[in-house]
Amino acid sequence: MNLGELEKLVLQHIWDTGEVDAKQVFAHFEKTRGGTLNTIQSTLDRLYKKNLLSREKQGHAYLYKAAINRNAFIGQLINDIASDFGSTRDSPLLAAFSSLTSDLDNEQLDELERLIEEKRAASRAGGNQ
Amino acid sequence: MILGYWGLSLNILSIIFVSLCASLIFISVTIYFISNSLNRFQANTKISILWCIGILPWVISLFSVILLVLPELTSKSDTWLSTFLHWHHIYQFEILSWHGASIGVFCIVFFSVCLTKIVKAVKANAQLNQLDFFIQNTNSKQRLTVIESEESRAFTSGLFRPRSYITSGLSAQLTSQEATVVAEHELAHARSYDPLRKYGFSLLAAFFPTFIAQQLNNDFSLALEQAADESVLSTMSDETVIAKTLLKVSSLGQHPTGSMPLSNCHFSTHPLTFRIEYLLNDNKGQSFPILLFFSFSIAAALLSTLSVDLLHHALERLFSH
Repeated sequence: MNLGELEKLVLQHIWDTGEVDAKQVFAHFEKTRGGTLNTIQSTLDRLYKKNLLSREKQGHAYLYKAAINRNAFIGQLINDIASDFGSTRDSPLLAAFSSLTSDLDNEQLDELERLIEEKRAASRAGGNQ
Repeated sequence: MILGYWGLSLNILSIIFVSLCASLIFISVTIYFISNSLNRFQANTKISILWCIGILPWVISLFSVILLVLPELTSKSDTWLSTFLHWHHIYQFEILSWHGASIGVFCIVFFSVCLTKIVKAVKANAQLNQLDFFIQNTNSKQRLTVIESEESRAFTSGLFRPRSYITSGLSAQLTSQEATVVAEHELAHARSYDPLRKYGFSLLAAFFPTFIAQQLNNDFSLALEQAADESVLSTMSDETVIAKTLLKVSSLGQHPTGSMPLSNCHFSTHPLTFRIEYLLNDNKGQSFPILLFFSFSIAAALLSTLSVDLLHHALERLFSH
């Protein structure tokens, strides 16, 4: 999921403050970033459509809050980066410690464990001689 | 009809395309039959061999251009070589001919592959920047950036400025010795610009048939991982500790049964098995087979150039332009 610069700032702000409406967000960014209330409203709307915010109508305004917490969102980002956008099992843009998918069953993992123990025992025996 | 140097340039492009196709076929068939032989080599040798395989079709197509075009350009066009290999009317190019069609296909394939790869790189870079933006606890003094997340992952990404990351979810489950193994492994990836190398190789592999390209990418990825595992050995001499850590991290990253995608990868050919066996094996494998590779390259180059000549003459006869 790719977010624009203002979308990232607004999402971060909502994670830090909790429930807000468009005017409160505008008041926060007006001094530091400028822009208009309309820009903030459309940014909030885009984040809502991307399922990153939830909203509830109160009077004439919407109250927005985060639909996903920061850690879950970062987890999603990590998975996106690692997935190579679904084309192959292993991303050509990333080198990961266990990138080559760990889909061995327990029996197979035990077999590898046995191999390691054998090697360790052989090294110890070699060292004792 | 395009004449003169423009005609010559377009004919050269046509030769490159046909020779590239022929060499890709020959090399793909060879790879298909000798795919497992790569595991006999040292990790760094394997990386070099795979680079050579990726570049070889392009070198061969240049070789074909030299063999087919040079006699036509020089006064020695009646040499024994030109009786076997030659390209008719090198300075004339007919757009509405099979030559024109071959260049059209070449351009479509070449630019679509490049464009797809560039878009992918830009998208990945944007996602990485996004990740950096949302990571709040970045400590610039740390060599490995810790990401607050329950995921169990450690990775290196970034094409020109590779950065290494570990999630707090993984870090919390590792002992200090295991964390050192993971950190050294990732930093080895970053030091050798592995994301960039992987990306560059995937660009070359993209011109091969899909299943061969996937196999090449998997082999390259495995070789990079093995090389990174090997580099950890310089700081931690006990290979069983590295193997154990690898096994542990892989188990932690495992999806719960049911949600896990089915894999058609057999245990004995599974990358994790290869990595652990490679680490535990005292004999890391053979070095670069220079003579064998050189002989294969010459054979493939001659076969490809001959195929270009045969195809050219067969089509000329069939359609008589």
